[in-house]
Amino acid sequence: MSLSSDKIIINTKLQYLAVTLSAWFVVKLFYPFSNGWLYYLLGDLAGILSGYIIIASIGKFKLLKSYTPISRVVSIGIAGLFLLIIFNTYSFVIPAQEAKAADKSHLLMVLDFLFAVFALSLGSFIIVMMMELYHLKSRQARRTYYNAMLVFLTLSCLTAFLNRPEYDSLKFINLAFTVNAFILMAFNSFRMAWIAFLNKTDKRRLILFSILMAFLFGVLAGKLNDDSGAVISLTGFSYGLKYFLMFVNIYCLIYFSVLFFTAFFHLPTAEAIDRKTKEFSSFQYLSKLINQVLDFKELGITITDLALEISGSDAAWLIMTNDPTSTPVAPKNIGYLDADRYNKLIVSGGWDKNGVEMKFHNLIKTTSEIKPGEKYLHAVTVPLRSHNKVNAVLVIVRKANFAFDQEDRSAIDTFADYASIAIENSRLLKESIEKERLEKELDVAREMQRKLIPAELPKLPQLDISAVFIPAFEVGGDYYDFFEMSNGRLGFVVGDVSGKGISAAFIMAELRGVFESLSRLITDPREILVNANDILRKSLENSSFVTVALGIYDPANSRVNLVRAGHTPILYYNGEGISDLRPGGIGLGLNYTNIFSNSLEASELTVKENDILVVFTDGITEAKNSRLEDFGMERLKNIISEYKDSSADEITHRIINEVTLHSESNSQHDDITLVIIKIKKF
Amino acid sequence: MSEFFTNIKQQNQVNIVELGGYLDAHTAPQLENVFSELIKEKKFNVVVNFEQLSYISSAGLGVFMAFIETMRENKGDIKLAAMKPNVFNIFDLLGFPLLYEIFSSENEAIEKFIKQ
Repeated sequence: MSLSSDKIIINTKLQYLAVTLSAWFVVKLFYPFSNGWLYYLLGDLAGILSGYIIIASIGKFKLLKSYTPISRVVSIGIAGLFLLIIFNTYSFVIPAQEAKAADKSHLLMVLDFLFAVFALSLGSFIIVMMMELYHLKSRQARRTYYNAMLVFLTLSCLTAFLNRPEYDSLKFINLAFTVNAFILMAFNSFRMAWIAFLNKTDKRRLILFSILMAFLFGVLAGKLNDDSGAVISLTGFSYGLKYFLMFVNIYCLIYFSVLFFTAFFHLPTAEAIDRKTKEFSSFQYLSKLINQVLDFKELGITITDLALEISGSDAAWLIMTNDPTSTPVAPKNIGYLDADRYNKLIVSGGWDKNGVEMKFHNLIKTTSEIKPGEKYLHAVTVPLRSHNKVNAVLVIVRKANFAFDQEDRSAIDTFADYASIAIENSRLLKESIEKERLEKELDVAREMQRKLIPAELPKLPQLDISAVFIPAFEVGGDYYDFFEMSNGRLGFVVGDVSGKGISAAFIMAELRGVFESLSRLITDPREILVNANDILRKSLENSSFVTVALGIYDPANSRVNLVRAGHTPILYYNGEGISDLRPGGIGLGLNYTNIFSNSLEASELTVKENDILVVFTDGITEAKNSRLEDFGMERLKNIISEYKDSSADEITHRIINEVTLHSESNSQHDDITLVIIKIKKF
Repeated sequence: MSEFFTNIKQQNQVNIVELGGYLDAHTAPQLENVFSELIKEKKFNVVVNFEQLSYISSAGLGVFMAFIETMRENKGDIKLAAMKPNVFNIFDLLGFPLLYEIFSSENEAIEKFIKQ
């Protein structure tokens, strides 16, 4: 329900209240001395209706629902005090004789009316509050008893005028209602289940409050029966109202007396209940935590923290079983050094940290060198397991000289189950984060590699060029590139960086830049490789290397100058047959002395129409079938000679097709790079 | 796929590491441990017997590169012996014969050490 509609309802309530109150006022004020049952009945009816509207209006204030039981008790007390104050004030201002006088002034009558309205409001407020207390923690069905009590209370108030001397014969009707109301009142006074849910301090407070309130309402009930001005005025004004206030006071008197004794008898068990509640809320907290904690350290601290609350002990810490030194983790209420010392004490008592059973240790004799007040006398070691493997051990220690009992044992046992799951979850989460990180890294590496491969092939009238690159699932280190050099020459390079992932991708990126810039300055391919090797020295680890095949084609004289640094041979079809070109050369990164430069040889070819150069990486020749047989050089050569008259693209297509067929049942474990250059007619 | 394994024996102050199976990125760490252990024990004269090794990947080659300097700085060496043709081919393509001493048998390698 929205706030505005709430307001409207309260406003209409207020209007009703105004109507009933003025009706009451008019009846009482202008016919003060009329007699007769109808007059009395009408007057009391108006009063009771007003009371009901007040009760209903108070109930509408939703704020009341957030009150704690104690604050409800206190607000009842305050209302009672107000009632006492206005009673005393009235009796003080208007003495009994004046109140009794038959010819009251109008002022006095208005005063009487206001007094009645105040008393009615306070009484109604108390009724509402008592109702709230009654409903706390009680089942729905029990409302009937309270409602029945209210009905009898109303009936008793309505018929209260029968107690006037002139209706003596009908008194019994009222008496019947009143007795019923009292019985239900006494019955309802035992509805105080909510006490059990209070903690010890609140129960102590409640004992004090309830005895004060019982006394207060006792005094008020007494006041209603003496002959003070206030009571005379009230009785003169309305019998029903007097009865109502009497009911309220007596109900409160009974209720708070019962409350006092109940709270008193609950006190001895309060501590045990407190502990159970704490245990319960700790479990709840931990079960929430199971799904939240990312950081193991944080989880450890929470576990030791909660372990102390649950077991009512003095200090706790964790030991990870995979840590050979058994260093205390997340110690609570104890220093690392102390915890470590106790670890050793427990171990010296013959404890195995991989044991799957909870163990209790008596340290009374073993800790003689520590000051009596500071030493821990009892310890329990709790294995935290998952899948029958102990991941961690929770150690809980106690200073007091009473061993862990069955109660502690079962609480710790349950707690250990939760803690084990939490630790296991945190471990799994860490693993999956690591896995995700690796996958991200692979994604980045793949993306880098993709960008390093040239988007377009160079277009030379003399050459028919085709190139293909197929990355393996785990990014390998293949790469190829073309660069345009001075005088229309074209450089081409195919490389394979050892290693995988992002580090290989970085080397590739560097290599590309190195070749790109060196090819502008140097025309001799051997010299390019010598320089590249020197530059790579800074970035290559001593266990990584790069193999490269580099060629430069000069259209002016149709010459191709080829070098190879540790790379797979280059295949060359010269119109008659296919040969492996295998000029000497160590891989880049294997040696940085003149052994490297001395090892480099160059193959110089003069190419003619329809000659084919095939440069590739070992991903093709080492592609394996289900029997782990390599694709091999021979198969490759056969395809080339079969399709020697086709275009470069066609040859590439055939080779890749065959390689794919060969390794169909086996996943591709290395990148595949293939560059085919066919000399065109010109 | 044959399981990778290493086996260490000693003969005339020379430490012989026998390799078998597949030496790739997954199994390379095992060989790394063997070499690290040898260096810790100050055993710098090493012959690696490849007789039963059926495959070596670039990660496997990297292991020898990572350790040879330490051995040589301590007046020792890693000598390679008894490679199958396909394994030798990989070493050969890369230019290892220019940097490492490769022998056709374990004994030849040991003798070379003794002569030194």
